[in-house]
Amino acid sequence: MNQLGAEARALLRAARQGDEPHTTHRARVRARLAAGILAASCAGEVAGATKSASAASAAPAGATAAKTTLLTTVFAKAIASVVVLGAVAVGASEYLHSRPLSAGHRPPLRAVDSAAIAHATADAPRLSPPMQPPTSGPALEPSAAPSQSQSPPPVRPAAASHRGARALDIEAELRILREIHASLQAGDPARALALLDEQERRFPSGALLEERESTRPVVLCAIGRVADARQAAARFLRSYPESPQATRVRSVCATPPVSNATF
Amino acid sequence: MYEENFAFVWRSARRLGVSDSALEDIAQEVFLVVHRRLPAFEGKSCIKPWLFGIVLRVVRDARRSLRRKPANLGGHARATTNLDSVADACSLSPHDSVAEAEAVRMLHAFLDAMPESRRQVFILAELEQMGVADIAAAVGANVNTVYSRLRAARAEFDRAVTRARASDQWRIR
Repeated sequence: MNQLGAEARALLRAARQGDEPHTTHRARVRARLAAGILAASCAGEVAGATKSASAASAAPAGATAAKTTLLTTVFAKAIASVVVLGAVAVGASEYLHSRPLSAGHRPPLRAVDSAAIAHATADAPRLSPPMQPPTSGPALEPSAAPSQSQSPPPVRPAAASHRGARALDIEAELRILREIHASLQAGDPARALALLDEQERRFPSGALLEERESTRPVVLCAIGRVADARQAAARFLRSYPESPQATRVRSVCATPPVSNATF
Repeated sequence: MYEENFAFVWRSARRLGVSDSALEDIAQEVFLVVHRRLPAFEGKSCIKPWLFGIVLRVVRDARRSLRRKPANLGGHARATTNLDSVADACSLSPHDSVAEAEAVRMLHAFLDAMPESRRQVFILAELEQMGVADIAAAVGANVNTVYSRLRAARAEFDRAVTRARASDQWRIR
């Protein structure tokens, strides 16, 4: 086969690195991708994925079922994070508007309120992906189809049904978290707390435990149980010091800095 | 998966003629498709040919849906300099940056002038250093067709570079 000339090779060498993405591109697309997946999930794909996980777990395709269940968990947690973020925004806002605060309380809560609301609402119009997804896969698709001759590894029915049940649990947990968020939005923190307690009773160590426990201080704070809210926040921060929700939980019902100096 | 392959998807879309303003949309769409289809992929073949096939499909579909606004994907809308990288302290010196940007501009101009099928093969062979079998899988053609397209693309590219250099020298005189 004829090779390229020296000038052509030199041009390719010079240009080869010029099409690399910048780290900001990578980060922006990652954020938009999460939003796109979230939008699709909110439109009902979580339910679909859960059903397919259940269906797949009933079939002997164990690896696929496990992957789908894992994906469902990951996306449910992503959605739950946004729900929790919204709950923080709404809860903080509710707290600000319903309680006359001392001057010392107001600044940190206002900061949480505006930042969280801005964060929670700024991406809302961009949730839907900007382009219609293609209706079919690439030309390579046939190679991706499962081979008839290969027999999938056997899966024990008990394990398969366990995975299916777990996926359904995650969906139920997520539904309750959404209801909690809706209750806070509707100005009904008492119902939000009842739902939190219900979720704790039904799923004491559920997949969305971290998201639930990060919501509790917000709800307690919105009700006005400031001491309980701070206790719940402290408990959460002890259990999940590295949680993405930690900063916000720390700010909910925050007390003004108290000087330890004694006079 | 995303971290490992984002650059490949980005480069491929750019070299297939997607303008800088549409690159993020295309990359996002590619990974949404990947997310949907990954369970079916199951690692039965190399990931890059599979990914390139998705990039091709997404770019083609986007072109079709945006045909009324060709500038959105067309080469004319390309930015010659990556504005995000201008302030990067780790990037090339100003002279090298300009030289690289010029080389990229020329490369894209040559690629834009190539027929689509040759362009795809040329990108994978000469810029991604992909083997012929993988290229065949990526573009959905047989190996002989890939060889034939690559031979034609190389000859075309060589002629275009020689012509451009000759033109530059004539202008300098």
